[in-house]
Amino acid sequence: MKKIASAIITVLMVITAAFSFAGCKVSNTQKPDGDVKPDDNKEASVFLNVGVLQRASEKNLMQTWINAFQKLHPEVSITISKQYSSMDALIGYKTANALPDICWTAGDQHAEYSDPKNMGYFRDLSDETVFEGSAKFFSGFYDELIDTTHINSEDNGIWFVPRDYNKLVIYYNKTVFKQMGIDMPTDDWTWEKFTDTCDKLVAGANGVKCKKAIEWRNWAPVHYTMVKNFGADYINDSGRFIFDSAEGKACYEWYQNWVNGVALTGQGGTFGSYSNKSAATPAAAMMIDTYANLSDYATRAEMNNWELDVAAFPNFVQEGGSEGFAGVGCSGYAITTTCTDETKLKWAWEFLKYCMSLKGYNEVAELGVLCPALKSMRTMGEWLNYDVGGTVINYNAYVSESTQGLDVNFQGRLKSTTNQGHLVTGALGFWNNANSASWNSAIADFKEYYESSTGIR
Amino acid sequence: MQAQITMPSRGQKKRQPKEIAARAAKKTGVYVVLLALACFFLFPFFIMVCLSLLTDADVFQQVVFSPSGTIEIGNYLSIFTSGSKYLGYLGNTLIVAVILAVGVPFVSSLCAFGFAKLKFHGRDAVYAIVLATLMIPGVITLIPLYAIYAKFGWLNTLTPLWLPSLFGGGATNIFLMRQFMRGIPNDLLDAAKIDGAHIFRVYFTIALPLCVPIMLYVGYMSFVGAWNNFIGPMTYIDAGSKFSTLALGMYNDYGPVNDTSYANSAMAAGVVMTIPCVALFVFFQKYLIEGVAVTGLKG
Amino acid sequence: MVKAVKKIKWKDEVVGWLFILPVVLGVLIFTATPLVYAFIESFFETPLREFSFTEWGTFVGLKNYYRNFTTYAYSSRFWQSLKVTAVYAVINVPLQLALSFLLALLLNREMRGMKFIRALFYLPVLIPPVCSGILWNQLTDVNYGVMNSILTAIGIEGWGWFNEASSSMPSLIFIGLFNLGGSMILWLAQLKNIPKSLYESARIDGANKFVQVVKITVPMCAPMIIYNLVMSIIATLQTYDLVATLVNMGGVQNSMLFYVVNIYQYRVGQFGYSCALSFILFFITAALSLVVMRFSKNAYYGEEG
Repeated sequence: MKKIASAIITVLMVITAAFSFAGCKVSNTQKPDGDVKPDDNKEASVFLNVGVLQRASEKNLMQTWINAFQKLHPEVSITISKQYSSMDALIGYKTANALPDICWTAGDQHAEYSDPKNMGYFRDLSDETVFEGSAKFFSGFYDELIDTTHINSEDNGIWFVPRDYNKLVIYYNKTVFKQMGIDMPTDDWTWEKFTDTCDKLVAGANGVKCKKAIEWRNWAPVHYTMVKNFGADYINDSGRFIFDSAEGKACYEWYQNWVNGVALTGQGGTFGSYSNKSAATPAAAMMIDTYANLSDYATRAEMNNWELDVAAFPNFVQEGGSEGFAGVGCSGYAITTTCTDETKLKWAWEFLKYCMSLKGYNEVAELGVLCPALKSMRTMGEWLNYDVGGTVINYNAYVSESTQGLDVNFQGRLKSTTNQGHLVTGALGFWNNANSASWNSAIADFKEYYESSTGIR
Repeated sequence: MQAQITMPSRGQKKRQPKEIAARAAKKTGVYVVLLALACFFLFPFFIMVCLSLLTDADVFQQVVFSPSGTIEIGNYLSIFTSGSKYLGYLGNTLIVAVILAVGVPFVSSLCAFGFAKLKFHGRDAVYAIVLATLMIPGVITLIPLYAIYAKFGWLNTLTPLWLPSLFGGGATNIFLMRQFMRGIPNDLLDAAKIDGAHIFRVYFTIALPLCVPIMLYVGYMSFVGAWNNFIGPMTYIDAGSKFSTLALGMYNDYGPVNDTSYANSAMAAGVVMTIPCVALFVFFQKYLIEGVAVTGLKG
Repeated sequence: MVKAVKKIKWKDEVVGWLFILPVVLGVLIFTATPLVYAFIESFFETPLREFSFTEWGTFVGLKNYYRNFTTYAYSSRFWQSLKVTAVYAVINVPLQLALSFLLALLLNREMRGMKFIRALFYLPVLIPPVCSGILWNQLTDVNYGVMNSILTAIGIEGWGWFNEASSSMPSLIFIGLFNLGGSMILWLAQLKNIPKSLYESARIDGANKFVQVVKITVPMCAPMIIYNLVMSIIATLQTYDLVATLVNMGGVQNSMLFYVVNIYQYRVGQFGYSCALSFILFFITAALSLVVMRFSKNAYYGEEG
């Protein structure tokens, strides 16, 4: 016992010595508790459960909406009962008979859960008899978002309420651009201007040189955007694999050149880690992402003393002069089949209609978590006043019309939702391995994966 | 003839300084190597404590010591403020760990006594089956048990973490106890039986007190096992539930699923989770060494 | 020869069974039932559902087993997970045994402070695997982690840690090196059992330290070596805690996709398939255990006869 104890004391002494040698002062600032606290409705008669994504920002967002709604309707009490980091946790909840009444769902992963032939957890919200005013309500959303809410291309049901309009944008580090004397990106910049900017960033100027120009996220909206912009596609309308085409090859080879040249793949960590220390060799000065991560980048920018701004996705003009595409993702909330009681259904629907309205979006604008999914809020609403550490952000980038919004549910052409899941996994695996594999072997693997798991040859 | 005085002492004296110098150099060499290795092995602890004392701004600077010279104890304070999630995790983990640390030695000694000292038909067959369960990987029962617990309604509570272990305590512990009990001379027990004591009293008043060292070993192992158990809570308890244990709570708050965690709060949580393990090891070291001697297993 | 049959009183039988009742119930309810349930479900295709005697899902026969060989979608992950787990087991276990043996040799001397040093070396083993995983996850972060700044200070640039497929396994093995203290303690216990006289006579015969180790120490420890080797491999096949907290969902390009991680990912969506995978693991573990029982003299089960 003495030996271990003296071992520990030695460690502590070493650490204390190191600190006192540096002449330290002790600080005891605790991290501010950013959680939104729930208000309870004491005389509520209707009780609803909500499941959200397991992130502090998601929880706070939902809690803010709940608090505001409960103030208007004291007879309803809504609780966040479940938090999950992936959609398949819903299956576990269903097994335990604890599936919440309202569930968060990712826009591109809802099909298996909505499909009555598959899991059948979600309700069809286009049903006017149960959900009053549904047609009018959904007509206010962007078309690309409503396209995402169907199970497959033959379905007209709307299986969840889209919450945010996540169009691809390019974040950039204004400080680095100023240091190098390069023109700032604009919302209507072309693809040529974009690649030109990348080359300039990597070439260097004024003693500053970027290791890579842009961090490129490997993620369905991004890779489907690339595929579409090159005129290729993964499957045709009858579900046959058609990615092994000349256009597909062109897209793949462009991508390999891209990530070996001016781009690197990542999730934003490299872009966000710029600090004054690395002023001479920034790792990446731009980032392709959506609104969802704005507050994260803004915090990092503020902490590390650089200016953040955002521009629309550059217009990749296709052959024939048609506009390019920029992928639009979304997430939303679905009402589940657990909610059977008529009163509960009515209130769940009222709650979702409230959240996704001008009033609801204005309530949560100060959290800066989302870009509203309503067409009417394109150029108005409190979300435009979200304070990003004192800097003015170009919010127009998120709703710019310079490129067409692209519904990224490429898998929707498949009737079977199980097969849809296979295609999504296959595509993601394909692009994750794209750095090293040659076209022939990579496409053969992808095709084999798709055909063997779906049986469509 | 003059006797040759060989002067062995002088010869030895000549060798000794060199020998002493050589031995001393070797000893110093060994100490230097050991010191270097000790620094290597201390590195995780050292860095854990250092990182936990960084301020939020410094965490992203990739430094070990704060460049501005500030020590931030706010992370530890926020762990221990009342109502913090972490205290909830601690409470849950303590409940499970203490129940197991107290219950498992008793249950396994009960069953081991039956296997070691009592005679009844099928005893050896059942013992062989119990030992055979050691070959079964944990994951193969973990997943179907979810479905079974769903039926019982135990999901998302602490029950699946401690109740199954109280049914016998596990094959390893029964094995250990039985080995120990075989060393108890039968005469002691027979003497008590002749005096008319019921067999349970014999077990409780004579056999059990003799097993105290091994019971402490089993109790310690059960406590540490419950404290560190991760895959169990991860399967049966939802993320963010008020029944989360330390391991699950740390995973959800600071693990790879969470991309907004700060290294300093993660490290502070880690330090607080590690300290009881180290403290317990210090106190139980003596019994652990005896336990290792009995079993030849890792402490 | 007449065997003397010992008559056991009925009362003693009951008492005996009462004593072992907890473990009997435990094995029946918490081991045998899930095992049988998993075995039956491995022939069905179903998402995770509440336990029921009537509903099993869609019957698919041996599909869950042979699709690991035929369907690319599953076989690629299956063989990748086997490869990763096997590579880790085959490299890490002998490496750790050998290195901890060397450490034990180093510490097996009567110098001042040896007990203290022993305690120091053992400290990292006490850190819970979850904490260790999160600690190293934070340290090896390519952008914000301290390890890369330390490496740059020494002069090594751009080591990818867990961000690149090729550097993931070496990084994991490196992290495992900190737990050498555990095996070292075991070896020390073994080394103490070797009589000093053997070394003495060897020294008198003129053997130097190296020859002494090779000719005396290693052969005397041989029985434990095989036993430890196989038991450690069986334990390594089931690594989960450390890997799940280090990397998310099998890591970059599935370079950290261990077998149990793979099982866990199919747990909810394809329950039958994950049961089949767990049974395959069971067969592998059972086969290895039988190997141990055959070759090891100090076998766990051997004493029962």
